[in-house]
Amino acid sequence: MLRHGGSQTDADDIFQEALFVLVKKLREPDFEIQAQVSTYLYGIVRNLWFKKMRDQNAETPTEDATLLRLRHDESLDDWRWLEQAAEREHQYAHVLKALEQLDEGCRQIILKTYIEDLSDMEIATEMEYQLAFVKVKRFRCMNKLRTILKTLND
Amino acid sequence: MEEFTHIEKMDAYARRQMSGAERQAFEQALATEPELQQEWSEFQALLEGARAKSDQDLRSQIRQASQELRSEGFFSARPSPGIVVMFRTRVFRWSMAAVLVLAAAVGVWRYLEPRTTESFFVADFPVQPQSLLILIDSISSPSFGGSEQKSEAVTLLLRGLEAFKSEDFDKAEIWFAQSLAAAGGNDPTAQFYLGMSHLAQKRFDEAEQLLQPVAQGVENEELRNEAKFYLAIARSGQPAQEREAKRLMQEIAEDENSDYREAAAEWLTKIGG
Repeated sequence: MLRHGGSQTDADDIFQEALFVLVKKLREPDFEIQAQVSTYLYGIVRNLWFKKMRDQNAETPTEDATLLRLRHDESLDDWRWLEQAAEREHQYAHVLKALEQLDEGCRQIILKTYIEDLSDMEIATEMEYQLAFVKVKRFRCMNKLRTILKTLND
Repeated sequence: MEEFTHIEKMDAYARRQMSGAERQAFEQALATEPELQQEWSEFQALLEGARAKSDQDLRSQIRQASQELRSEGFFSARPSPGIVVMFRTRVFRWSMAAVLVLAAAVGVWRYLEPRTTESFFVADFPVQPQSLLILIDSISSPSFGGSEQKSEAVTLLLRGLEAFKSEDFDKAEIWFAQSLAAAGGNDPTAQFYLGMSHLAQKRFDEAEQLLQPVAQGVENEELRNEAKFYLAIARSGQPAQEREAKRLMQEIAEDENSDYREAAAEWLTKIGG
């Protein structure tokens, strides 16, 4: 990155974004990592950085070989994870606000259930609840979140 | 409190815990009942918001872990004795940082089991093949090829070799690819060095695909042996290929005609083979 005109800050940002993409991929149920983690991460960094270069370097001479090649590079899916996350954050900003007003216990049970995909038994163990209480608590929390959201929207 | 009327069904549907028949019934109801449609739409929005929250939390954890590593001086440069060592150190340090940040941020140790070949690769991979400097010298020579003007493929190859020598592997890769294209896809030297550019960037599987035909099919024995050695290195970087890498190294170590005989023997000694 530094060789291609990037700054240390660019390198830091891309590195963190690449880690974000890697973790998101690792959390996909069907995803299996075939290479070394460092190899895989390197590939993501490379894709993200090339995409950034392509988007930001309108003034770079067109004969630059790297950029010429990038025009035909279709392996830039990694960037879409970041775009999707940004779009989601923008589109559901109101829900994010409501979530911030929810108590930590409720927030955790919602995230563990619907995002981390944990079973009620796993949640009961982690949060030290009775098994039967997990579902009751989850429904209560979803209703509470809905109420906060409606209040915010009114 | 604004309560969902159909929360139990929506919860089971969202968590994929319905049987086929239940799922079908729910989807039919969803198509025909406006009240359920409205509730499901709100429920989905809450789930998407939760997903956005989870992403925010993850970013925040990664940022925090990175900052902690930085404040501990993990990324700061240290003096090193030579270019090759600098290259290896940089790759190793960034890889280590990635592992530490990942582990700190999300606790994914199960994906990150240490691999012996990885550490071996980082420690012992010779960045410059033996033919590199010889090729640069001979192609740069005015008498190369017997003609006054070098072909486009050779000019591109020379640019690639010089970029490779400078460890500018991104650029080298482009020159080699263009050289190979200019030669109609039929230049084992360009193909070998294109593979080497991938290998230097630790893209082992791509490197293997390019090196294998050179290691097996070219007439030039020196190039073939060189490709064979680096093919073994490319395989050593892939967990599923470790055994094959070792077998190939043993073959090279026993080959009296290979210039990489000693290097292969050394490799085998270091991995305890």
